[in-house]
Amino acid sequence: MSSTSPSPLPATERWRSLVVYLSMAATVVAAIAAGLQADAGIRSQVANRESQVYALLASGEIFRQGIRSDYDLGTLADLTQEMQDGLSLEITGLEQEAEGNLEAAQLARQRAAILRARVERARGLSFFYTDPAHAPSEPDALPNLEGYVEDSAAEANRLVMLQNEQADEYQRWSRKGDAYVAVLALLAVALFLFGLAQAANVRTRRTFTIFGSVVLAISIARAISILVS
Amino acid sequence: MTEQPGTERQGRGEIVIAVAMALVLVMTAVAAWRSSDLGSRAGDAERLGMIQSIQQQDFLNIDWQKAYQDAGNAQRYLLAEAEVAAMEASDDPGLQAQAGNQRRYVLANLALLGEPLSTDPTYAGLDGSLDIAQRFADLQASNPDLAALDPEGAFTRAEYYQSQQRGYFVGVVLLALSLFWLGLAEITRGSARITGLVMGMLIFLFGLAWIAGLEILWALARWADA
Repeated sequence: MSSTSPSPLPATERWRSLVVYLSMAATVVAAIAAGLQADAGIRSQVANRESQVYALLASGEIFRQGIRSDYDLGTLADLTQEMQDGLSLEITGLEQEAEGNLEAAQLARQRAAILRARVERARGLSFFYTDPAHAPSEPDALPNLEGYVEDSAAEANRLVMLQNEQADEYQRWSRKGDAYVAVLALLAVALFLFGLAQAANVRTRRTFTIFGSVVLAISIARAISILVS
Repeated sequence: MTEQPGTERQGRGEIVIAVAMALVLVMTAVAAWRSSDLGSRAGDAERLGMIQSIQQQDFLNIDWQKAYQDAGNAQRYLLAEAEVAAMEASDDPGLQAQAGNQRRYVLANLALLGEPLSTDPTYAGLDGSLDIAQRFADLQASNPDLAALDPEGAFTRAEYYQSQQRGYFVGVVLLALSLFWLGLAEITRGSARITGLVMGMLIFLFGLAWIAGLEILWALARWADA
């Protein structure tokens, strides 16, 4: 009889062994989760750094483009004004000539010729007249200012887009890292329950072991869902 | 009396397992310290890289500003020169005299102000434009403080450390697995205990080899870079 009936001692030992197995499994899962959490932390750190570098580059590009636009548009404005002044002097010369005031007409023409020379030289210096993509298609037409504004913002926009992508990436990995911390907290609860199970009597041990196992299973499922998300 | 040799073997086995577990725990602590050290080094390298990036951008901004300032000055000179040339070409003796004085007293000063773009032919484009990008490149090349900055190098170093840190995480997981098997050996008897001990030691040795391999690999990589 004594050989067939289960003795209370082996049953206690079986539960105790199960608790030890589960505790060790929880430890291994915690080590893996800690590794994944640290990896997510590194990835979020790298993305955060990249985001900051792109923000810096974008601000530098906006600064550069501001200086450049100031130069290009300033050159164009001066050129246009001198072109208008020259035209006005030509008209004045013709009017003075018609009125018989030849000396004033000649003076106006001389000043117009000087302005024409300045305008011709300024065209060679202006991006709007030397760059084929923006230069006027006809002599009296205006340069492609709309295209210039679009092109000048393109690089800064590209950098801002990259910055946003990296910022999103940072958020994504940061959220994953936080989620792994929650998993680690659950694993700590599981380990706590297994610790209580070790110290408790047989009936309470079973209860704590079952609760601990449930928490461990939830932790593993959550860790897997974070990993594949 | 008949059970005494078995009990002694069991006692010896438990001592071996305890020593092995202690070894694994010490190695885990060392690996955790090294991993933390690598994380700290990566953080330092990243911080240095960010500081250098900001300094680099500061220099770039200053150089662009200087390049366009120089271009503005050179433009003033070139336009004045065109104006003087037109006055010289006129048939009015008064304008010609004025042009002579302007060339002598005004243009010389404007040329000085617009240097080097106004005088150096390397900055003159074929279409008469000014090569501002070349001026910017020359300003950058002549700045030793800028040349000393290497943010990309610092970021690359940070990534090296982070990669090594990831390798250490794998090592720590291997050590945890080893601990798992040694724990099993501790609570079992007979062949299960031997299996647990062997598995635990094999995984521990693999973990050690992994960590040693990492250190050797990264030492070689640093040596090759140097």
